[in-house]
Amino acid sequence: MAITTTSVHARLMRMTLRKHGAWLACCAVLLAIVLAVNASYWWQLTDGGATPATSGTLEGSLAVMLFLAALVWPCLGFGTLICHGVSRRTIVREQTVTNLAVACAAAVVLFAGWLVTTSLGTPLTLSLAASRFRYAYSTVMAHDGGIFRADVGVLPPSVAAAAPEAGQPLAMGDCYVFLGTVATMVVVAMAGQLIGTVLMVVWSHGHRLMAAIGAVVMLVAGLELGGMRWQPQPGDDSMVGWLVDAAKGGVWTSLDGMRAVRTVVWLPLAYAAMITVVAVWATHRLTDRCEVPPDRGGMC
Amino acid sequence: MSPTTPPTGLAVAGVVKTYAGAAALGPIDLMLRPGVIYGLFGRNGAGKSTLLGCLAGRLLPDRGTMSLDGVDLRASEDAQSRVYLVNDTLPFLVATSIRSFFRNEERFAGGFDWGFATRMLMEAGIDPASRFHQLPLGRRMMVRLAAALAVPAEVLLLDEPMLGLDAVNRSLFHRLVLEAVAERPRTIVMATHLIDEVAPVIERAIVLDHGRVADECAVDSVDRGSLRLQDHVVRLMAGGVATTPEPGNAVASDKEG
Repeated sequence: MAITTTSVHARLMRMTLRKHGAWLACCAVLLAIVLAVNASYWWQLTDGGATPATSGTLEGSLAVMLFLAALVWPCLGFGTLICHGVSRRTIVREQTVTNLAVACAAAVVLFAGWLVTTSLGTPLTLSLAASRFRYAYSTVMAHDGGIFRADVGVLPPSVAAAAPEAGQPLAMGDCYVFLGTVATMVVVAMAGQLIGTVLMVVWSHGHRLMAAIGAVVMLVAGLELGGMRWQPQPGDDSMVGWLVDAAKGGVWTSLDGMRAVRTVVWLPLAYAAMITVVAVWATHRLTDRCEVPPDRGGMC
Repeated sequence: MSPTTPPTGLAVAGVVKTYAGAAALGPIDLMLRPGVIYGLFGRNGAGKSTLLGCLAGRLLPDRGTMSLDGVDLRASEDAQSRVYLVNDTLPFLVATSIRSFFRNEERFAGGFDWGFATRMLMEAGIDPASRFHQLPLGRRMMVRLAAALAVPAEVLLLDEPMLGLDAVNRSLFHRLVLEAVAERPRTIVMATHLIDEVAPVIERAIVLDHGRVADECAVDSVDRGSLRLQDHVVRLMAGGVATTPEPGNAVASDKEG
């Protein structure tokens, strides 16, 4: 009988990566279909002589897919992997590393698209929620499909003059935009991992209905998250609104009597790091106690 | 054996498993020796599947330890991957062909005896090119048993392996188990209610009653003359006391369960 010479851990980790990769490939195909449909819409916009179209669809679609991919994987993969001797530790490690890597890859794709379309001034301009970090200040002027649109360019000259750095892109602005995009994608992926693990545990305890309802709720939440509709409205003085925007890197301030938002990219990065730590810790604790009862999970 | 030499085989020490506070298993103390075929018997709900699930790492015991050749099963992925369980759930998510099922098991297990598995399928009248879900229940079980006997696992746990098998396939399975073990010795535990049928195949019998080991004995010691293994097991399952203890074997003294 042929026995491979690789160590068991390497083999099982490789198999786990392979299975997870296959799942991500399925998600990528689904994402490609969604984008293809959107592309036809964008094409119609530009072909009709419309003003340069700006769309946050790519960012939203990627975020939703990243969230759902990370959410569904624990439910699909855990049983099969445990049944083949893969340890719970390996499952958590592989899941965390893969989700972080995919989140960073998604951020690179988004940033590259944004940089190219912005630099070249193509008819189709990709918008990024993190593009606010290109400037020291921004104001909340309008919501277009939930996208945070305005930047410092719309500040009145008198207001911009109050802060000398306000009118020009920051020297490291593009770098901050990239870091902000990374933070957003990491938060989305880690939230998906955490919620998916909770659903997996619920499912393994035989509460299939509860798990199914939870999955639907999470799906809706994911779509809402993709639309960024939880952006606080201008003038939202509530603590929740302030905290939400602070987590996204905006700190409310007053500039020459006008309300403005100072952008601080380190805030979402710190938030992403915190979410990652909490998600990994909780995933580890939950996975370590998850079981595959006979004929109940039906997956393995 | 010197005191520092770790015990060989699969050792179960003080394992307890409860479901929502209700005792399902234990405390269990067992020593499964290498290369021995065990029969695991007990009434419905006696804890057979729970014990096998714990050994395979699918269920987590509340207390106790399980080790393979002295290595903690929970702590070592290497040790856990040497244990293979076949029960009523499937080791894959979507409908698949037999070949891709075998390839999947080969990749996870690090080896696969394709010749043996193919021969077993052919003798059972199963086309290796078939799709798994298009087969009837008994043939699906034969495919899974072929995979179990073909992977290089050192401990094979079979929960109701003869579920759905017709008499011919049961006989074929018993013969192939003996052939497989003769070719490459391994520990096999078969949990079944067909006591008489497995008696010629197994070397030792473990009887569970209310989650505890009622007896663990050599089949030869009870299955002789007019005595049958089935009679012995049934008596124990009905609450009788083991009368054929062997030195060094676990024999339950507490029958309250």
